[in-house]
Amino acid sequence: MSGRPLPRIILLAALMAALAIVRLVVGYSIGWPADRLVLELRLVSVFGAISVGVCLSVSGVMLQSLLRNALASPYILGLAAGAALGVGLVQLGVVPRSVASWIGEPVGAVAGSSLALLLVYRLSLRRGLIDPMSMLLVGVMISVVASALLMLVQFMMGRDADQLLRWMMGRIAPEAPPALVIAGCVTALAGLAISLRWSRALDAAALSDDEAASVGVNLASLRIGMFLTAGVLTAVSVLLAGPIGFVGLIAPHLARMIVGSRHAALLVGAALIGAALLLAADTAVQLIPHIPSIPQPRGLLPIGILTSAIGGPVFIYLLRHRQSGWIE
Amino acid sequence: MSLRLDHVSFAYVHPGDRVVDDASAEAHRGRITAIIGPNAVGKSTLLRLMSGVLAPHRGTVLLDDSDLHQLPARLRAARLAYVPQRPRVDAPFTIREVVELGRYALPPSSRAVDEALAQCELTADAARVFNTLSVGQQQRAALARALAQVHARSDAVMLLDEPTSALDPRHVQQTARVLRASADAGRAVVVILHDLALARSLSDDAWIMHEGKVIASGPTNEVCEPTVLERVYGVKFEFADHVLRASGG
Repeated sequence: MSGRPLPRIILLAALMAALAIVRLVVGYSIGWPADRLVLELRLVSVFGAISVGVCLSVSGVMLQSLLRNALASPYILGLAAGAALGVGLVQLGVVPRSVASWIGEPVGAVAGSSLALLLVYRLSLRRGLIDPMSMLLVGVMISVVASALLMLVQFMMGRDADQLLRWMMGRIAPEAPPALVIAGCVTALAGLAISLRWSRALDAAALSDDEAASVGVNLASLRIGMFLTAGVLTAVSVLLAGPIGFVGLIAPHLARMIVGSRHAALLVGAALIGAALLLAADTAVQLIPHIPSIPQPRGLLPIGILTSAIGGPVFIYLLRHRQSGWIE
Repeated sequence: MSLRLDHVSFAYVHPGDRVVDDASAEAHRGRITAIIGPNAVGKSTLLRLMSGVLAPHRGTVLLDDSDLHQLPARLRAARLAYVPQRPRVDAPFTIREVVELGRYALPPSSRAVDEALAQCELTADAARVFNTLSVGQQQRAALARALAQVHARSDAVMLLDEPTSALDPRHVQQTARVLRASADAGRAVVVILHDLALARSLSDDAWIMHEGKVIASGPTNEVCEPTVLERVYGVKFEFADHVLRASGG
């Protein structure tokens, strides 16, 4: 990327705003909603999509930098699998019903992802410093183990596993409590602000550990801070929309192509692209029922299927063309 | 001003397996100090201890009589610049962006970056992506980053791990001139070198390392003499046309 990133960031912000307006227009019916309740539902969806997009993409940038790996994404640390297992255990009834009705599935998701986060953190410490390679491998293994346990939960649930399966496909829920979506927005903005405060340190952390330390980066506190922030952002996105694949992987790469690799611009660019991708995907899901010529799914198509189906080929395209300059 | 090692020991795993063993020596400002010795005797580890990246298990590294490892990271960065043998950047940064990272803990300075690029003859290549360069060019870019870091500080220390190992003869000379200019500006320059001829021509002082210990230190022409070198390298050395050469096993 050459040139100053600010004009491109402004263009990305305009794109995101345009997609937000389009999403407000598209729903069960197409057109600006006359009913205030419908408008509120669509606003919840818009802010939910923006929150999830920002959370996933910002944590994606942080984890790719932390792990020095272009393939890192928020789900590489096993957080999504941990969250799904937490929800599965609540639905299976492992948690007593009286407690389950009190804590609910969202708390199961947060508990599961938090436990995965703690395990990855503890097991990837080497001499008091997070070791990126250990973290990557431990994260993958915890993801595999949690996924296996989740399959066991589904097996034990039998036909009752349908609700869990649908949750795992990802969905921006218009009926989500507005307070939850507001909390998601605040968390996303706080995560972006925290990561921007570290943007210069993240730039310098691209050097080898020795060089980064010699130019003055406190790697221990930077890594713990990035790890915790990325973990919380991922947990919040899972809480709001379930596991949604590829956005946290693709958005940072697209942002690198458009605004460059300096983290101050990269984080903002990735946040805007992540939000735009989620808004576009949610709008596409809403549009499908309006196209009678294609086979209609039972209910709205889960958004996670769309992001993964499109994100996978897009990533392969980036890999083959190496346009981000980082995929080796 | 000096950087002094006071009975420094370090082991990576078991305390008994010391990579650096009771090393004591001093690098002075305005002078170039070469660290010389065979492979795997602890030269790079010693340099990392001197940079503050590693903390000694025993002994102290003193910068102007202050314990280096008690200094905050940013304060240390203002005084010490470190160049590894194989610089690494895990992002598609340009040479200029890499050199700017030298100012991370310091106020941004376009002048410092421009001058560092010019000193290392990288001005024309400043927009090229670091990871697309040859290893030699990457070494020069890392040297430029270190120069930007210590810009306008005559009390700084530069630590370099084989900075000429991948350079062609012209750039070896150019790097030697840059290091001499740095020392002439008042800085202490400590450099690991395997090329003994270069070490003798470039450095004012030398430390000879053997099995983790600094077995000799002092002015290069006194320390770098055949009997000492034969002991550490296990081959014979002789002067031919005033150039020190290994002459056989």
